[in-house]
Amino acid sequence: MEQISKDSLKIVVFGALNAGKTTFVERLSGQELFLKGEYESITTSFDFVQIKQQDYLIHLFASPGHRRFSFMWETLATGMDGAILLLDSTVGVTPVDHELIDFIEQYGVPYIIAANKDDIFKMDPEFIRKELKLSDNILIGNTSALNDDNLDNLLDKLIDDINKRNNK
Amino acid sequence: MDHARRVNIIPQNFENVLLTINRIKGVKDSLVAGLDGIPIGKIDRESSVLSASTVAALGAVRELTKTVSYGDLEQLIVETDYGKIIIEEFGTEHVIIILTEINANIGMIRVMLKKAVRDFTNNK
Ligand SMILES: Nc1nc2c(ncn2[C@@H]2O[C@H](COP(=O)(O)OP(=O)(O)O)[C@@H](O)[C@H]2O)c(=O)[nH]1
Ligand SMILES: [Mg+2]
Repeated sequence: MEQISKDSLKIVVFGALNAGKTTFVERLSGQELFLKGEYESITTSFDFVQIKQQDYLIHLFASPGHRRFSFMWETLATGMDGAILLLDSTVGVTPVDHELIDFIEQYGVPYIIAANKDDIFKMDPEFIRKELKLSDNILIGNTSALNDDNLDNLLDKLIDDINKRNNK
Repeated sequence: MDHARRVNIIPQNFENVLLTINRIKGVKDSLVAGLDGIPIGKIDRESSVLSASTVAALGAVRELTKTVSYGDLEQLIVETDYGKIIIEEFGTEHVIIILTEINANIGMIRVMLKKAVRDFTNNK
């Protein structure tokens, strides 16, 4: 896999511990991750893989869920073109999710929300929009990372948003 | 980092710096990456993993120096039984990563590195 930088995008998946971030990037990429975060390791506390989508080489990162590694959010967010916030539908919207939205908002990049674990419990997107005070242009989708349900589609929509932003 | 900016980074200049550095005795390989963890120039799996982990390590160590209030991080040298990994910030948005042999002359490499980076910055 060899490609020059101009065709690449950096996308970061954020979310609370256990929301399904690692599963999400694993299923989306359909291959073994290049780097897989281990709980005890600081530098590889994130997941990393590259995938091809819409003619882009996507550098896909998943942030560490554990609060202890939250300083890594900034490092991972540096230079990102877009973000995905994963919610755990079995838990609902939590304070960490509010914190993560505020964090992502600072970067001014397109982002989408994925209400994950849809196979167990379905969260109403409009409820999420209200809870997190999101504007209407932020896409909220229901996903099951476990069943690879709606992942590709959401990523496509995020890439479309990024394209729109960059062509302006 | 928006798209336009990423395209504007001309790999040519970086390649000259890397060529100079790779000629130093004891240097196995070198690489320039953005602070976004993405390598400049060719993006193969190996350099992508090296860039992503290095930039993360830099972030972690910077957090350490900040926590103990011990100045700004200038350079990170990691020693392994294979050799050394030297990581240095390069301009405001990039890092240079150098892999060396076990018995490389680190002092020499650091001096040459400083010079190469300075030449690059002046010639921009
Ligand atoms: N039922 C269900 N379980 C999921 C889903 N996504 C992840 N999981 C499970 O949730 C747990 C945590 O997932 P993981 O990807 O490690 O979460 P992370 O901490 O955010 O990286 C694991 O047991 C996964 O198998 C999903 O969509 N549905
Ligand atoms: Mg994980």
